[in-house]
Amino acid sequence: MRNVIGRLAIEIGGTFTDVVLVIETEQGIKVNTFKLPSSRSHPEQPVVQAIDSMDIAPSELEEFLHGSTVGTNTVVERRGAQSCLVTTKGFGDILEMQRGDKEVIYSLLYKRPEPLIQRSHVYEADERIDRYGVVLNPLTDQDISEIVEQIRAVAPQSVAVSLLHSYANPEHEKRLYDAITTALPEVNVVLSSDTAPQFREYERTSTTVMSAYVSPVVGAYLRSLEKALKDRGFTGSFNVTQSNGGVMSCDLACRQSVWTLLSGPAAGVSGATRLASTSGYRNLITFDMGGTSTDVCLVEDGKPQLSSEYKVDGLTVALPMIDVVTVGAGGGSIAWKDEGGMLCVGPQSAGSVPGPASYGRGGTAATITDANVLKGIIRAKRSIGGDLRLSVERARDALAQAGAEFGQDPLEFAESIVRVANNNIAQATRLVSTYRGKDPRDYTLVAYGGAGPLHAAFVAEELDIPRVLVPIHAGIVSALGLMLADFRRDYAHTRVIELVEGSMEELRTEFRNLEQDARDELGISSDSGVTIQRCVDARYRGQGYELTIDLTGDEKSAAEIAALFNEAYANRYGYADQGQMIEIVTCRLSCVQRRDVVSPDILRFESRKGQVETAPVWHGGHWIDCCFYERADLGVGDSVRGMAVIEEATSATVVPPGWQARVDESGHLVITREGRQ
Amino acid sequence: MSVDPATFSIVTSIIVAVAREMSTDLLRTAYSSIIREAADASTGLLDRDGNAIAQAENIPIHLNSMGPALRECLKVYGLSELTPQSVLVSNDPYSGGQHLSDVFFFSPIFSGDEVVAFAGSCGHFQELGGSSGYNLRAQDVFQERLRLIPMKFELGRDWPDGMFARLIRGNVRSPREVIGDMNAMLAANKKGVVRMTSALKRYGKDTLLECMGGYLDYCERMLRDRIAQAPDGVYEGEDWIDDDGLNSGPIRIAVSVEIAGNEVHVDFTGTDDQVTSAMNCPFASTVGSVQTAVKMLLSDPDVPFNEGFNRPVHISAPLGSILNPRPYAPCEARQLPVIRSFQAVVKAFSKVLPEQVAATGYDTRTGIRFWRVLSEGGYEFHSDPLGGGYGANYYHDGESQLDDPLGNCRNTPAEAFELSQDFFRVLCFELIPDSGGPGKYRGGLGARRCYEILEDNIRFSWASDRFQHRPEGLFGGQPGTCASIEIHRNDDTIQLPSKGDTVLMKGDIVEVRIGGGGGYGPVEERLQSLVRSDLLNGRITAESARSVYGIEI
Repeated sequence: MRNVIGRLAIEIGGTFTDVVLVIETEQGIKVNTFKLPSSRSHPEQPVVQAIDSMDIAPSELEEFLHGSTVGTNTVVERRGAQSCLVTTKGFGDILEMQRGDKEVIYSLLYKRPEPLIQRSHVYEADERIDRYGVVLNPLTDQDISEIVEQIRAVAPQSVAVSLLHSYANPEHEKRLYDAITTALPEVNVVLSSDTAPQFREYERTSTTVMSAYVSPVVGAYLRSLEKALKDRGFTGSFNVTQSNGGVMSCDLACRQSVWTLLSGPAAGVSGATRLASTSGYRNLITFDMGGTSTDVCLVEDGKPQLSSEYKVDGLTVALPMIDVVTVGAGGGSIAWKDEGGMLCVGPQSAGSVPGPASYGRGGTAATITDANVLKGIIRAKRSIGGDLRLSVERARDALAQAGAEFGQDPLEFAESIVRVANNNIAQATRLVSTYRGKDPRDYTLVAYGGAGPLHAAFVAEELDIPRVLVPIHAGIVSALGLMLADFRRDYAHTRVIELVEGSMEELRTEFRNLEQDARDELGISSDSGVTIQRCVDARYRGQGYELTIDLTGDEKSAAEIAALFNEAYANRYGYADQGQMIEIVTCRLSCVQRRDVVSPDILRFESRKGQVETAPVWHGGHWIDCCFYERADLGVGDSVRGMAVIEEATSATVVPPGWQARVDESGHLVITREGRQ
Repeated sequence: MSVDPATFSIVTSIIVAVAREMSTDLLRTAYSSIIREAADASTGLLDRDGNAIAQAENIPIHLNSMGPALRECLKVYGLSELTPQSVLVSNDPYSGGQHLSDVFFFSPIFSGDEVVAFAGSCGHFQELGGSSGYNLRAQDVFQERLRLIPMKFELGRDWPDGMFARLIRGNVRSPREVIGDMNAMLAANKKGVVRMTSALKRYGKDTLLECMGGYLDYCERMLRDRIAQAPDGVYEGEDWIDDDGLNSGPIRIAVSVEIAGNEVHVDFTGTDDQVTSAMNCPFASTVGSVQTAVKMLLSDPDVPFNEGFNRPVHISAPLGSILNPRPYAPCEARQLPVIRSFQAVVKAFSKVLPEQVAATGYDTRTGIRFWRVLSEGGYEFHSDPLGGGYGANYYHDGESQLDDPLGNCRNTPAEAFELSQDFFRVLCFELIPDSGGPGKYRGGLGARRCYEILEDNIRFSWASDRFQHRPEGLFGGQPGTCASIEIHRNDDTIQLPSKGDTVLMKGDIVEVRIGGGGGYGPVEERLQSLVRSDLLNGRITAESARSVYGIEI
């Protein structure tokens, strides 16, 4: 038997499926990356295709890492598990009422996103527990059996149980769990006290319902994939990516599928963060531009910003997610004239079918890609996946037609489109930086995705960002993110603890319990390679909103925590209410286990000097000479000056005049203004 | 226009983005929860004539509030009198303002020595001297809040330590919060000035001025095109307020909307006279309400508002009516006439824009407030604003229990209330079957919310409406239900009027029943499958399935 270790990471996106295969043999390490078209109806198809086309046998794979859009699509298309919900009496309409606000403030015809469970499948339990966990109105066995009978009549796949204040005392939820699983063993029962034991009943209930709704579908998908792998001889470990940027085992993911929603952008951010850190860059704005949209995220000190809740199709999920801002600017974004005559680019996208006009697949709308093709930045001779050949003529026709509406010739119009698109991206970048009181000039812009490196330097110019980093294999950073990700789980629990020295034991107990949950779930017995982060959501007593404070490190006294809170408060709001009573409402613990199996170093290209080609490109109203380099031809220490385009299989990087790019020690391209470092 | 299309698109998007960035700064650094949490504040960029070019209004009621306030200031102060340190300020409802709680600050933006634009912000001050809380019984604005007629102060000289700061400090109960919020507004303005100054440097004064003017024209053009598509004619609408809170009522709001070519004339002749309570609506608020209705009905929700929208719309209301009160009628509680005038305008438009309007909704924000007196002095205060059912429309049923169309407040979770106090508990929050007006499409349902009082001597005040006047249906749709508030004490039930205050005792249960929205189209046209689904999901009762829709199940 050959001594081969293979690791395969496959990330399914909306348009493309990214594949990274790392093969270690005695001869060395080989990295193979490619893209396949995604299939919405048969998501497993490209995965199986990739496995069947590998250079090694599936039995030689030690690990398979996977991210997909199955969970998100399940929600968006409303084809999840038939589910029921049990709430506290008087709160059965919670899914319909949500929080009573609108997402579009100027709509008189507003329609809320459709709940995942209809009201007739919601049952109310006559019970009440208070915030201290004291039972005010006990749940009777009689009541439980009535609810069980009602559920039996519906014969659902899943039941979500979410009772008021269950984070303080899960007893009633647990009794319902026991009764339902005993009577209906095939039903998947999800408790809010397990899923999101935090206060705010709508958010907790919505998260629990989401879990009940997606778990059977995602679970079935993962199981069938697992079976397909095993049938082919795979015996390695199977790990799945989450929206917090970490991975977890397939077994856990089948039960906790709600953690896998919107995991694609998260994998990209954690991949970009990890890659940039190999060059020592830890304060980043990640910029991922694909075919339909752009995702940006702020990373501070190597930690991507997390939000403690997010929405999928308008429905709340109160679980941590990497906090990306998305705008409709991608290669396929269409240029159009609105009613008032304004030039707009996106959010409408030509996608991959029919795609930009230059794809020659029947698309006629002028897109950002067409503009870059006509400008000569994207060269027609480059293939972009499969046998697709770009047509400059079709790009010119589309741009001529759309440009005529503005009285511009095709080249002028191409430049207009790109300027507007770059501005849209710059504004999105402001949303994660200046809007949060951060100065983008203090960050490195990390560009990836098929189109990110094409636009990055211009966006940097717009925001006066001094440095752009284009990581190695920039077109498939999401899949690389999977390959490089750590195991991660987050836990949170609501309990009001007054911030006084006397209650510190209570706080210790809270964290001890959370840590025990983590160890049990992850099967961690030793501390090696495990990092635990402890945070609290705290507020001044009487306020309705909290700030998250990091308490990781040495144990802190109440006074020290209060000082940290006051400082964070002053940073956020400009002042602090010194002396005001502070209360902790939720404790958060995240547990990260290093998965140091692949070093980013192995991803480096072998330098193999090739031919530099020169061709004119349209820039700033003129044709100027541009050098075209092959990415693999540039070795560590090589540098190029603008105007240049550095091409690779899955992406291309533009170095504008006045900028230069250098390949750093880790193999990344670092682009800076000439004269600056 | 000599500016190329890309530059125009980019510069206007920068102006909009700057207005929004100012707003996030204001919300982030404000002291009071009404600004920070309820987002009752707005920011904007205005041209030097006082036209709002871009505004970040976080709630619709702030739309169009900036321009009128600045224009009144510019009547008093010429551009040449302004320095980079100048701030124009006003909260006067009789000089283009809303109500005294809404304070406006405007900072000039210079290109060299020339004022080219203004950065402005508006914040709602729950406390600004005068009466605390809403004083329905105020006899004039002077009893309501500190009144700041258009005036100018200079940073450095008058703020943060000079005369203007001392004037404010000496007239409010919680100077720290008030000054803090004003500082947040000044910080937002400063952000606007800095960002616009860098845009000036990058694109030049002429380009910027041309884009600002072009952007007004752009919004005007879009609105005129939409108006021109609607058939000419005069269309009428009306709605009612139960009472003025001092038991005088009902109050009629009447409007006639004339569409003539690509212009609209909105006139409120026939509207009742101003009232003696504080429920008067200053004219600038009436204008804002009409503009919001026009914007919602005639433009896409994601097109930002600017004052180009005002050009084709002409609004009048008789002086001395509740929608254009004479100086110095009190007007803190303007919210009800604002929303009712909005509804009257929507109703008038229903005759020409049947697919864009909705039937009248419950559309009232019911303010529920509980507080207790602390033994150490002061109060512990909890407020619970509740919306109601929306009217149905051409496309679908009305949504249930949303904040009114001019606000966007979230409801407060029962667990959030109970985690922060021990003197009341939320017993239920559930939709009321049959509260939505029947029709081809049903009005949204209102909700029932019950509170159990856990201590003696809890103060309770409430402000609601539509206890007597149901929201009407449209095109054969039937009206939604009225609201009610009751106290269940021992075995008694005490019916409360729509507005008032009282003291509660331990064991009392306060039951608030919010109304639903009106239906759209005749019930005969409702699909049987929708009736069955409503019944199955508890939105209607079996009785109404039978008696209203004639379906026996």
